[in-house]
Amino acid sequence: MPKMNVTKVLTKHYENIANCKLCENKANSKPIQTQSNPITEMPKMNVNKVLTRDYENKSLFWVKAKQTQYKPKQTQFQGGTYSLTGRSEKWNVYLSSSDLYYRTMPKSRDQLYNELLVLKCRQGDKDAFEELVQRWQKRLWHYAYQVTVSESAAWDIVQETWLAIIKGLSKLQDAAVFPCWAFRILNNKCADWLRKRHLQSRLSDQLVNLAQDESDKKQDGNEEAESLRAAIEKLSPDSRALLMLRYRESFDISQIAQILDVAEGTVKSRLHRTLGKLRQVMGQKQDGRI
Amino acid sequence: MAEFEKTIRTTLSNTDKFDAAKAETLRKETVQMFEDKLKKVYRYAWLCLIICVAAGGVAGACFGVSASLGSTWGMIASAVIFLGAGQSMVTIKLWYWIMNNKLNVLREIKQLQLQIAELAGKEAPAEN
Repeated sequence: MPKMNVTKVLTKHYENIANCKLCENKANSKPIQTQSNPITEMPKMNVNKVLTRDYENKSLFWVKAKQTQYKPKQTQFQGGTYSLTGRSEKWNVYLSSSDLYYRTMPKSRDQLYNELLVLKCRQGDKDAFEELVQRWQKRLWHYAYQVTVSESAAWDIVQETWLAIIKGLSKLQDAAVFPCWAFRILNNKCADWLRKRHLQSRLSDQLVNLAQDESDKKQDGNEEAESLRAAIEKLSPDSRALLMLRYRESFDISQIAQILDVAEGTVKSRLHRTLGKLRQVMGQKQDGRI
Repeated sequence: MAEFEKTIRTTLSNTDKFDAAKAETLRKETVQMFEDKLKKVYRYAWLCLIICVAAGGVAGACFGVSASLGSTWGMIASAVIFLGAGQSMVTIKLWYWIMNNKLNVLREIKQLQLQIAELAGKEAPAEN
């Protein structure tokens, strides 16, 4: 994070300034009420009056959350900046409870930073977009490569995917769904590519007898991994996509269902079938060795 | 997780065909595309504003001419166009302001969550 020093904020000094000077509104408000809200779970912080410092804009920022009677299902966020140049601004935003739940459920730092980058991109921050590309390009490429089994096609597909992301980024309402959204675009692009090349029909879902195929390969410590990789490459693009999403990208079943645009039950059954096939192949391989 | 699934995960993670040089080129191209898109949006926004200002100016002039000629319908039409142009400008600017403010707040909330996550990580007891 070159320009955004977020670890050096919320020191005692700034909290004092927040409590004394800036947030004079006595709160008849209450903090965000969600069960899994990490903000309320933090012991030494007052959510009603939080001051942080935006190093990029050299300004002080405060935010206050409260639930009002006339909009019971929404939480009102009031915020403001106190710029060092003397310019001050106030904001007022309402978020629905479901929105808030997704925005406040416990997430890893990586996820949060990712969402921050997406929000910055939506504001037209070029550096943030560059970082976003850097963070996601490898993952997208690996997925495209596994599905298409072609390096050049994978690069083309990734480029097209980024183009689609740039076009659609302003319409993305929730930054938290960016991974699913990006992979869904990528998956559609891969499917288009496969359709064009008629690979769907050529790549059969049936596995060949890998035990014999693999017997010529070198016998070293990575033999199992090599034969597994070969077995995965023999799978259909759909199955490979499923394995990538589940085991490389660590998406859960519901997210995979969203990305592949199928029911969750379908994802589970396909996954079960694919793993069964792989187990069978690996078992054959071991039997052949014995 | 079963041992077999762990093996699959490891196997899928250990692919070394990613070309870093190509990735760098693609990254530059993608960022360029992003910049072009931004420029396009700004150009459209400016174009809209210029059209609104021009329409307002022309309508104002027409209003003056109509007033000197005593044409009531001309005056009404000019006034409507003038007000419409002004209203469009205000709407565009207001929309931009609202969206920007919303994104600012969301961004700051996200930064706050990130700080909390980082602090929580620091305060977590070290595992033996």
